[in-house]
Amino acid sequence: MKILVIEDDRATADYLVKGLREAGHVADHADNGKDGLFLAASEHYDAMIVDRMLPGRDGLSLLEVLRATGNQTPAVVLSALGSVDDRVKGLRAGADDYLVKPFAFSELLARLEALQRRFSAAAPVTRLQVADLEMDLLARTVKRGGKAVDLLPREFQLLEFLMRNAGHVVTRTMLLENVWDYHFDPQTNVIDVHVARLRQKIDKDHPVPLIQTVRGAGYVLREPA
Amino acid sequence: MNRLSFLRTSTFRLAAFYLGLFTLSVGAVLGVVWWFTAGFVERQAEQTVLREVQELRHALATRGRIGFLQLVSDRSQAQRTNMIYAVASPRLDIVTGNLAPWPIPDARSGWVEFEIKTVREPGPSRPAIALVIDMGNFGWLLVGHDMTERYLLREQLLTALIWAVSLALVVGAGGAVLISRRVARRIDSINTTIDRITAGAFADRMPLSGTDDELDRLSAKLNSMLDEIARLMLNLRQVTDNVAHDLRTPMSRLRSRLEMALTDQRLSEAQRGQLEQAVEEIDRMLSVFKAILDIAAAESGRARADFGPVDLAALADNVAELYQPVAEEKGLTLTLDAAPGVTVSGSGQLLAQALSNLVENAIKYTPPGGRVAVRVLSGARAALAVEDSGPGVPEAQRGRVLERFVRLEEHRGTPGHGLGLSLVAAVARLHGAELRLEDNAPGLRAMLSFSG
Repeated sequence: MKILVIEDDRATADYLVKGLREAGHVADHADNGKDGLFLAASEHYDAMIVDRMLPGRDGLSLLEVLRATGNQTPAVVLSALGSVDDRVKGLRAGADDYLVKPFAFSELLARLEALQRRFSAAAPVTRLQVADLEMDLLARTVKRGGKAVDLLPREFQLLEFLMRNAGHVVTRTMLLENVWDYHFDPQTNVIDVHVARLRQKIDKDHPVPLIQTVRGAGYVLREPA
Repeated sequence: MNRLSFLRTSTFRLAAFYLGLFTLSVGAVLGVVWWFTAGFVERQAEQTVLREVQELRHALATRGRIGFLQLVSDRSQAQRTNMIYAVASPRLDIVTGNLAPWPIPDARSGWVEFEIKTVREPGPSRPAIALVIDMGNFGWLLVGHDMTERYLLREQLLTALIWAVSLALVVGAGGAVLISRRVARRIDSINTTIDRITAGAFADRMPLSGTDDELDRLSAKLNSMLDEIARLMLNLRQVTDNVAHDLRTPMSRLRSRLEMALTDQRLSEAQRGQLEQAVEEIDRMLSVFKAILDIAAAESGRARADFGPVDLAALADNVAELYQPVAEEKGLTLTLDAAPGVTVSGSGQLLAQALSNLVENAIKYTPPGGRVAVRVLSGARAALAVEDSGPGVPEAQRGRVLERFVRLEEHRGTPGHGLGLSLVAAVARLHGAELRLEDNAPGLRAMLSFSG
């Protein structure tokens, strides 16, 4: 992906650009809102990382300007303001995702990739398929190896999110935000329990497990190589 | 305040002591009054008798026996006299006077007291005192004084004194009670304020009566002490928050370093495991920092700007649904009982987070086979409640468990950082709601009641 990083703090910017390049992406960097706005408007990017506190300009107002001009490049806003309401404000202002500093790089990467997939989907999908697992989004049915799997509504949403991001790591926080719309971290591993239940229904009796745990990061749904 | 505890107060004891002193002094004053009135009446009667006796003896010496008898007889005849005279032969036969018969069985010199019995007009006997003088061959002289009126006066005086003492006692006791009650009431209001503050109303202060008396000064001193404590608490909290805030960045950098290291394909399985555990350890630390900062953010009140209507039933439903499998894993039944259509103004995310913390606690501390119930109560005050059948929290500890990092000794072994309930308390304060921990008999009921 080609990613624009708008971040005034040199250390953070270096860390981001280096990390992105190591992960195989192309990264441009602007260290103030004016340059950022110019780059975002004049070049095509797959995604943007925007710091909320920029010298002379709030990252959110920059996004509002961009969105007003019809630029829909998916953007992750970074902020040191960590309260739930700051997130909500950020998402309202045109951010597609919101990450509180400091963050784990794996979390940022997972979110960027998920965003990019969400936006590059050309037409709305009605079917998702990974290996022999099929999901019909219209009929809201799931089959594994041709056999119907009975899922609760929430389990269906969880599986949908995993399937839409098949092959990519999704973090627990991403699941909480996207499936439950909760922007806080529970103290217990409540997500693990839900995933374990889903696994029971999807992977039980199948020699090939599709839902895998990535320690220290989250989960990934994919066919084992 | 009940009667008994009132009697135990030092103000009352002091008042009772003063009442005792007061009674003693009133007693002393009345004793003096008694001495100078009733006593005086008796002494005066005695002196009158003595003067009379001297006069009669003088008459005997100067006028001889006949003159003396004449004088006694004259004096006896005097109208409305209170004096009693009797002259008797050595064999106690009355010779002259106004008393018959000789009132006492024998005769010897000195003071006597007797009752005058009048034969002609039976009636109440009349007390009298008299001096009996041995006049040798002349026989006996008795000069006395009818004490009826004087004793009557003395009785009236005594009655008056008893009344005065009782009145003084009543007034004194009443005053003591009133004064000590007033002081006790003010001390009571100080006590209830302190209780409220101890229970968590840290912003409350002692009421001042404006009289600048010693109680006011004590209250003012307590207030400035509370202000100082609040300042220290705030400092401590800021230090904690700053530490949490400043440590997060290096911690996440450290985490990213480990993540980078994990991408190295040459790692052995054992090394990978070590690194992954280190990452999880850091995540736990970061979650503590995050919890501290969440509490700080909730306490700052910034979120109030974004308050909107929150449907409690929907909120409780979502949280219960999120934790249902967790409860089942542990062999607990999690039930939801939500009154529909209850809406409060607030932050849906923070309330969900608070409710999650309560449910997490309930699940954590309730042994397998137990029950956890999430409730939404309608009524005068909307409320969210989480009830469990676990060990509960001893009443004495209920205030403490709301503090940051406080964990009860018996739960030291379970995972947790002691911030869950602090966050709930902070969210409650932010919403102007009251967080109460109650006995669910058995277990704990945590209740967030919203005002209005």
